[in-house]
Amino acid sequence: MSAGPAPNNSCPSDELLLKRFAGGERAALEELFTRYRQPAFRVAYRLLGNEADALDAVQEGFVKALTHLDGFQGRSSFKTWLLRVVGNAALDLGRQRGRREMHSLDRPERPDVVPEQLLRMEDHGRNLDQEDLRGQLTEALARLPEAQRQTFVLFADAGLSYREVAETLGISIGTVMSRLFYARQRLRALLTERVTP
Amino acid sequence: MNRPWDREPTPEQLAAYFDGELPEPDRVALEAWLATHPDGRAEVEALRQLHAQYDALPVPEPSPQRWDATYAAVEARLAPRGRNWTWAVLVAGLAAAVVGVLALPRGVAPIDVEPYPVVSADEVRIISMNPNDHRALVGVQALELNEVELVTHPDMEILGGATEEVVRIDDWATPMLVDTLALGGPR
Repeated sequence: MSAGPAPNNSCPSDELLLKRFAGGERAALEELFTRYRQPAFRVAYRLLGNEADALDAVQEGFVKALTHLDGFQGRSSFKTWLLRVVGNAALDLGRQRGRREMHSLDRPERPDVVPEQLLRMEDHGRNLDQEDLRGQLTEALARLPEAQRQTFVLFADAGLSYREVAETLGISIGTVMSRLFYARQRLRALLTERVTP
Repeated sequence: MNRPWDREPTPEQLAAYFDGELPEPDRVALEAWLATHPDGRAEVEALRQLHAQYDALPVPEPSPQRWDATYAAVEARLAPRGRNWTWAVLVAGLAAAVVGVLALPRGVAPIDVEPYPVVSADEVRIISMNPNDHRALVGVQALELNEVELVTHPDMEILGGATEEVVRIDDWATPMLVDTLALGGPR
């Protein structure tokens, strides 16, 4: 779980940075980018499973979040607004490039084996080692419905509270709880399915 | 004094306990309930194991060069105020003037909408465009981006429950997440 550095007394608030950015101050943009690039990247990476695509989504998300500031002002924080836009940008990118590419996280370590082959190999009931587990969790996450996946990733990776996830996605806290429940159920079921001989 | 947890907690409440999201009185009460209910403790333990596995999944750290490249791209797209600012404004003004001149003889009113670009231009084929659709949803058939069309509420079926933002459009087989960001029309 991770989150960007929280503003403190020595750091300017997001609101101040946004005002400076609107005034054309380059340093304000750089500060906002540095402050939130990590949680934005984590969210995008978990949704896409690929570093280059995740960076594309981060770029797209920052640009859209900052060119449509009227979409959040007065209703949420910049962080939740940004993560919402980055998440949507990642999902759009994932749809465009196809779900198969989402599993490319497995490829660096097993360049000679495509994910489908890897999954078949992993279905022999043997104990999971760390690499197996990683591939299977990635696969299980990619199989979640988008709404559940985005909710789960915002909570588990961006470190947002239920309230912040609700604010980010424009849904109720009850819906957040429900989506998290179903996401976890499915993740557990998919993992159980994989390890059962 | 804290009230006892006198009912079977829902799975969502157990998850909220695990996530540290219960108000303090509820947390204390549920903790007391768990002390006498092994099934509940097993559920919480299963959540802990799932998240331990998930947290063990590495997220790579992009190199400083990649971060720099990403920031440079963001800055370039957001700040057309560089050294070529004057030229950029002149070119943009000229382009706008040309578009205006071309549009005027046909009597076409300029469209001042800025749809959220969910797909690139190469992937879009406008099937129909009705003036009444200017605030319609942009419908995209998931996974197969062969056709994109504007759809209005009568075209959609809301799938209820926890996924109320998921809609099915016409007879498309794949429900898609609909978000306010996907709304076309003026902002």
